[in-house]
Amino acid sequence: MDQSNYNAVTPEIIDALNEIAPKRVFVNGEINSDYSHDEMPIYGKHIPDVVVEPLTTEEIADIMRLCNENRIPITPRGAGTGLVGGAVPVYGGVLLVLTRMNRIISYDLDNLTVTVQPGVLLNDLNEDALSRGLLYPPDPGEKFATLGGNVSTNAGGMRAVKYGCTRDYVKEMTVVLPTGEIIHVGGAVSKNSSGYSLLHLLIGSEGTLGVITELTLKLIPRPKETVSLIIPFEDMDSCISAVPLFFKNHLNPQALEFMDRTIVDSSEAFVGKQVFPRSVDGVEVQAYLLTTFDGDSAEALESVCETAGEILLEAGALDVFVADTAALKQNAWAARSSFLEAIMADTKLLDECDVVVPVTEISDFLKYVNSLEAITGLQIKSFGHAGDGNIHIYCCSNHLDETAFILKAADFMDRVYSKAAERGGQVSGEHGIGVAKINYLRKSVGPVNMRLMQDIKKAFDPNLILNPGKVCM
Amino acid sequence: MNILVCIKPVPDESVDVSLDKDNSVVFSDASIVVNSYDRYALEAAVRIKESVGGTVSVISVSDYDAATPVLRSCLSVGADDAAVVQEDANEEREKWSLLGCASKALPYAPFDVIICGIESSDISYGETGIALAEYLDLPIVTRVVSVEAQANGKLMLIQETETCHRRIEVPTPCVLTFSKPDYEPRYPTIKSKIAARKSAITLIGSSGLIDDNGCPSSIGKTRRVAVSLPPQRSGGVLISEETAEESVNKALSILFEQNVI
Repeated sequence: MDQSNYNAVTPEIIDALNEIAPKRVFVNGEINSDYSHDEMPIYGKHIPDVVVEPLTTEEIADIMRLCNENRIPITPRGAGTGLVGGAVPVYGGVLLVLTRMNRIISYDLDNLTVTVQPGVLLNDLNEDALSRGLLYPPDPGEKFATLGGNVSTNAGGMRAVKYGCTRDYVKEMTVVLPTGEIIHVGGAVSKNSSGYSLLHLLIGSEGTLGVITELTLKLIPRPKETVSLIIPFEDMDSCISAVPLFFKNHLNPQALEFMDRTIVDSSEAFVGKQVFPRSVDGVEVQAYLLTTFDGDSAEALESVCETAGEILLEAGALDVFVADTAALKQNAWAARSSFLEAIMADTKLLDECDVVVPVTEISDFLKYVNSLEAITGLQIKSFGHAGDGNIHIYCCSNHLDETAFILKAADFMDRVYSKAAERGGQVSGEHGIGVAKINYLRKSVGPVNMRLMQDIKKAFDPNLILNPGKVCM
Repeated sequence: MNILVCIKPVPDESVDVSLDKDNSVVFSDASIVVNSYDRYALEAAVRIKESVGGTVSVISVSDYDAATPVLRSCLSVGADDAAVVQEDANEEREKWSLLGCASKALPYAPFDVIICGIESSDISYGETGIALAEYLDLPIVTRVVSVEAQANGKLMLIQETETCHRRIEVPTPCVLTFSKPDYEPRYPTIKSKIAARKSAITLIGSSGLIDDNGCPSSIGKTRRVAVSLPPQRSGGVLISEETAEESVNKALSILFEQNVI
């Protein structure tokens, strides 16, 4: 597939788009250069020929039909916070910006669901649901991503260890297919064995099979109490080795994150607040676990925290610090939430991956990853979701030029993905494949799985107009 | 150096407050925590103790049951001793006079330093430290953000003002009111919380407290007449035209009509 598969955007197409979405069509100098990339511009910048900001499902259906009939590539985009180039219009054409479809439509308090448009920001839904005593459990680090984007990548986040990923909270969706047909998938039911699950096929399809225009999401009652623990260790090995103890002892954490000392230093400098202890009784801290427990009573949580404390101290934790008020919890998690911004602020060039490996493999896998610092000459920073084995690894350089960095980063990534596969891992835990990780996916899943994915893509999108160049072709 | 830190239990600041039909403040389901500025005061006291030795005592004028978990949290981050002065509902006495009287009866009295937060997050009068210093006839430095015990027994302080930081030396005994320093107070640990849970919190009945002059009460000279919410601002105007250009033009025309520009 290349540019020759597609036709150019003509003045007639622009006129037709203007008829569908009057005054919400932008061309040439009206197009914000940010629309040429996401949070990882190193994977390539491509400016679209035209940007359209639809407001309704019907408008999107009309736009899609127009593009399909004229073989114009069309790429959906939310807040542009992706990390694999998934919303970048690599073949130009139409960029469908969904941020104006940002209404929380309604709550169903009998069934604990909320119906939203795809451009609602995760942060906005979180706050709105909490104010009603409800929780939307998926908790990706980027709170200003759109919910449509979260669903498209099956985003996970900190609370995935207890509550699962975005997929587990999508009940129904309205989707516009590349042909312009409007379909409704899923339902307000608790069980469903009714044929192939198109709902789950579309979730995580990164905007390559259809454009989500309305979502009904599951909510849960807001847990009454939460307590977080900061657990410092002398080294990363003992830190990661403590992770399985949470499960073995049925502690059921809501979140369980690991982080190394260097990234905590950077992030706390970035947010201007130091709460993680740097030394305990004269011993320098090199790694931390940060965990949260939730429950219905302070007394029950206190008991869980004490049990966790005993187990962790026995396992080599230097100490166990308790954040049990709103201010302490907020400060403890502020640094964790700013890791990516802190790395970006410190770094001229970076590449990242978010492999997921079995929890029991994290320690050995990280040792290997860190050993690559000496081999590749790149600075390695890593953190991640210790509870589910999803690791965010950044290779960084402040001294290489971009060409040299890309070569070294490619070598680094080859080694990392090969090792992850060897350890039973997968290419992406939550960021997706986008344009950046297709080759690694191909190697990981093999030719048969890749062919099946391509056939699915063709079934939904015979002219391959929707978000071309992503995931599998 | 023996230090006393005055602690006020307050509703968690992150919760919205409202007034009920009788104009009483309603804190809904807010949990009761240590007033933020008192946390900074306590951390400063514990740092002095770690540097030159001594003790840190904490005291609250409050309901005993409400104050107990809050004072236990203070014990878990370095306080050695805690007491609550339970107010007598039939007596009208200012909290600072109760603190002043009670401070003389605590196990580690007399204190070299008494530290308060500059104000509480619920009422924000900001009077306790100042009135206490006056009552005890001690020197006071307000808005302190750093304190260091010197070999000569005096304290070297940094006082924060709108425009500068002042270095001030003060003899002991003295009273300080503490503002937000450039560090975060320490977190409790599992072990320190368990230990704090086992510690006794002394209960002091206010009716038994009599000050140096034998004066059983110090009736406040100020009186809270009423509590009300600030006047509500009128709703803003949402400008959401079809294009950014149209929105800007509309905003400009409104400002022009109102003679703002």
